[in-house]
Amino acid sequence: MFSSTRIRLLIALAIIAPVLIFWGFSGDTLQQPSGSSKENAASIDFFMHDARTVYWSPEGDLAREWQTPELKHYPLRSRSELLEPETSMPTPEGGLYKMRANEGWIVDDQSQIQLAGDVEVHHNPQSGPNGVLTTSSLTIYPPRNIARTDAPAKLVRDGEQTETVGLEVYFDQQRIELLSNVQGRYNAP
Amino acid sequence: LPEDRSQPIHISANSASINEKTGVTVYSGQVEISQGSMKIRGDRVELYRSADGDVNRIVSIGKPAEFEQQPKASDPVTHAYGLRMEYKINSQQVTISEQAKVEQGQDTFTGERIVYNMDKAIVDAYSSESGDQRVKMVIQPKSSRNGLNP
Repeated sequence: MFSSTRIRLLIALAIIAPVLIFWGFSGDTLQQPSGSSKENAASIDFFMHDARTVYWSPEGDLAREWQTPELKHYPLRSRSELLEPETSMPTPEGGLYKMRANEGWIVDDQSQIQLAGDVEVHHNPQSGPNGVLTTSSLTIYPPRNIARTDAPAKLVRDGEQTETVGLEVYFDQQRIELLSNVQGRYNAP
Repeated sequence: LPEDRSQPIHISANSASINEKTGVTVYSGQVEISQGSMKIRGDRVELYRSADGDVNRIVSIGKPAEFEQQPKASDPVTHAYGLRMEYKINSQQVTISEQAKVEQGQDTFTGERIVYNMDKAIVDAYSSESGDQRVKMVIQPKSSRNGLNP
């Protein structure tokens, strides 16, 4: 009359039912063992979808703008994680730096922004050809308006190409320091 | 070689500094530049651009800086040495200054300043204004060039 599967199912239900009933009436989830109330560092206190964040300089100029399809804030780590962040930063001369990456972290005090995964920095100067910098990771330091990586990086501009291991970008001065193993290739005029 | 000037310019160095405002890039540490058969070496090399962004002038500083190029396939390689070299790409001219020396095959030229025209492989040597660095040339007689004793 009852197949063996059904019998096994009934037995399983018979075992679980009392536990479910007790748990349901008691109204409390399983008590956390006292003394381990420390929140899990991976816990999020807020998140945003399609977030757009704008930062202004003390003088009221647009300093930088961040866009991301998803931002999650981790209070215990004092930072936010950004999915596929994109940023744009105007330069004093009217040019523009645009950056993107697969992921990024912004420290709450804005002292540091880390970008990782297919990082691209596009420089559209006021005059002269555009340039593109690509690398695997890049840390930006807004207070000093510089960026730095120790990873290999490639700069391409107007058909010219320069490769390096490690670099520093000084946005205000529009200056790039290539730290080691520099290989450049230029077109003949 | 005649086709050198249409070749891409390759540069390698320990480090570099790119100034996007001025268009000047400074390479430092075991710098080597090559364009076809032409090579320039130095401790510090400055690369300048014209208004339209093309590389038009290269200054190499070293102890000494070195230059070499084969003017034609049938010619020997020309070597040049000096504490400072300036390579003007459009005019294909290298100006060597401060302890300048050029070697063309077995011939040697020294002076305070030497201007080498790459298209014609012509050497113009100049002494210092004070006169303490005069121009010296050592031109091997043709017979000894062919290995015959006079």
